[in-house]
Amino acid sequence: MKTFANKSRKFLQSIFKGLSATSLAFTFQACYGTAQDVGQDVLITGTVSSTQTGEAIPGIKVSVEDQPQYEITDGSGQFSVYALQRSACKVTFEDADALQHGAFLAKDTIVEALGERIVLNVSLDAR
Amino acid sequence: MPGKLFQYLHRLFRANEIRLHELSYLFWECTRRCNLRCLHCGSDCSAGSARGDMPFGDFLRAILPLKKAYPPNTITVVITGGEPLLRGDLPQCGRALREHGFRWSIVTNGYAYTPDVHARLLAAGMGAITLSLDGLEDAHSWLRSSTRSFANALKAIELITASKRLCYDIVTCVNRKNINTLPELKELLISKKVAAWRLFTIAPIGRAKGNDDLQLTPQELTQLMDFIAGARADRRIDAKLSCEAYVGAHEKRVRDAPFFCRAGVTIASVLADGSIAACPNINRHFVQGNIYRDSFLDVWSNRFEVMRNRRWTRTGICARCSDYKRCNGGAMHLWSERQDAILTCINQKMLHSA
Repeated sequence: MKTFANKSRKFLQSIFKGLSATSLAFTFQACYGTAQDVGQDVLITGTVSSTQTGEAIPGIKVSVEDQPQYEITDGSGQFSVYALQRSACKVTFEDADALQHGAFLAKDTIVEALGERIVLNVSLDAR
Repeated sequence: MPGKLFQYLHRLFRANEIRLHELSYLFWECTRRCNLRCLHCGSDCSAGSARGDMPFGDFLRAILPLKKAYPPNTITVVITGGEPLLRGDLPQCGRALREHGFRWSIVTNGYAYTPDVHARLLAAGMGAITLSLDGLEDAHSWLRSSTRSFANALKAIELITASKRLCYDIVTCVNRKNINTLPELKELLISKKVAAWRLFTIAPIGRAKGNDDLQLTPQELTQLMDFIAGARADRRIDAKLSCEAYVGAHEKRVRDAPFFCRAGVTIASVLADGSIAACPNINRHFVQGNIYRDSFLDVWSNRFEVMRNRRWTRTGICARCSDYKRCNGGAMHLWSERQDAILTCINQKMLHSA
């Protein structure tokens, strides 16, 4: 019964999508709610460590080119930041806490930001 | 396609959605605290709300069993309030939702939406946002009872529209103070690169009950429909009437899809006190359970009958309405605990003034 209802839904949706002004007409929103999230993004996650000592570095700002979001690495040097999916994106690592956990040179990395998740482990040189 | 066939197919679609009863939209009223005191607030929230925020862990525990029944990425958790930005742990909540596969979004008044907040929410995987701008400065400040709220909301709009990631829209509650300045407001939004604009009337519930300045006259309601239709024809902004009410002959002029109240059909809420409801602004009489007592998945799967079968709404002015088949009793938030008559009907108001 439910299979039939699901098939009916697809058939009816295809009709209404063809008739409506936008193909998103059936990604509804409640009257006091937001649009449904139909965007595509990728989770960039990983660890930042020191090239010289191999130790994790807290306080590194991880940002993605042309996008406002950023994350600061935690006490274990770990970060995770969602970014727009794209074939190539530049991820920048910058020392954000002055000398608190040592001083490190900034680094840029170009990654293919496709799929749901990419892991990026990066080492930074001491300044 | 002829109108009657279109309407028939839409009724089939609606009946099918009711039969399927699949959750895809889940409100979380994460707090009752608010940084504004808006004249029209349906929740009657305040800065010093006696109730605290709901611990995120309580909410997460309640909804995790949903993963057994639905792919989590088909469910958007819409975080609302109160004002959700008053929660300091909002990015952590959002990040945890994404880790479990759910999508998430927020509804905000924009007062506390700074560049730093924007960056942290995007980094935590926020995918959609709705922000309120209720007119030009005077009208917005009046409704929001705050002189700084307009400037803050405009700054927030600039951040949001610059984001390529966010699905968003700006919402405006239309009332007697702003109805005549909608053309100027439209130009302002276009100048801020707003692509999607949703216009509401204000339901006579919560703090809005009894405030005549908030209720449009029948002539003004028609004026609003004409304005939205004109803005849609103009095509410089995707304007539409919200899904708050059925509007008869204006339906095709002001919306992409015909009216369909999905409360309890595909939409549920977890309110700040743990109540399991449909939309947060629906009368508490229709609460279906509580996460501190019941299994959310069980409540969603086996209750909500009062919203899935709405034959009981054929009463009061709806009993003899020729549009009932298309409207199906209107929006659930317009029904009181007595269940004997809809609080207001925009369509009837416009018809009687014509």
